Amino acid sequence: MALGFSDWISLLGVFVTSFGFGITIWQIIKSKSAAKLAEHAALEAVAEVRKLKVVNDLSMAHSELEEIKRLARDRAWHDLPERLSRVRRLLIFSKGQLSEMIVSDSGAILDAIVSFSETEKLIIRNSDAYDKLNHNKINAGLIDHSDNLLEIISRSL
Amino acid sequence: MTDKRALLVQTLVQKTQEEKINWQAASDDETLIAALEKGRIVISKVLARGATDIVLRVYNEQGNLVDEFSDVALKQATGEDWYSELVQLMDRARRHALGTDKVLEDLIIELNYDAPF
Repeated sequence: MALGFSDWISLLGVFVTSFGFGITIWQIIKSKSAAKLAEHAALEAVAEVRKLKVVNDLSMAHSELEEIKRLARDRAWHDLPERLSRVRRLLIFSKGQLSEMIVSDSGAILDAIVSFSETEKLIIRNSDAYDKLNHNKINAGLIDHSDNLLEIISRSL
Repeated sequence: MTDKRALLVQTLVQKTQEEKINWQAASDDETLIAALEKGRIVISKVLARGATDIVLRVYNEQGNLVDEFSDVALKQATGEDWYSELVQLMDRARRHALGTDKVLEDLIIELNYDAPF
């Protein structure tokens, strides 16, 4: 039985509807991919800004440490505890922010934090007898941690 | 109830004897630091009330001081005297941090070496 005009119109309608439906699906998929790409780009940008902030904080800690080394060389012990505390706080904050830090860098920063905390306590304990402090050892420790910090900053750039 | 601090010290002593702890020297001769994955343990001799106490400080992964106690506090908690054991622990830790045993071995080898001339 041959198809009549109305049958052809109906068939055409089915094709057009299916085609339109297909285009709609394709547009939805395309816009979802675009949204995902945009989200990924936004997250990357946030991570990059956070990383720059951490590198900046580590650089500030390193600058502060250079001044502390100078004070230690000059045996100006009285000012050191507060400065060491400042550096320590910067390092604690930085360590917490940089989640993709490699294990050895994280360990090196933790070593510095603990070392500065202990040096701070040592200086305070001996505040009435600074001549008891082993300034060579204290200086050597500051130099080591300062060098490690500089390496971490260089690698992060 | 087992005192956690006492357990920590016992484990530290045992693992140090087994040479499984990475001990590091600090800014003074009477302080040593155990570098562990989840934090740091500091042991030091401190002059307090005319006597020498041995103090342990525990730092977490973030670098925050989370506990501090002395051999006196351990004695009060457990009824046992921990001073001698902690002195021995410090001695072993210092030897590890300074590589003392390796230096002694190398010197013994050198002293025993008969030069050909």
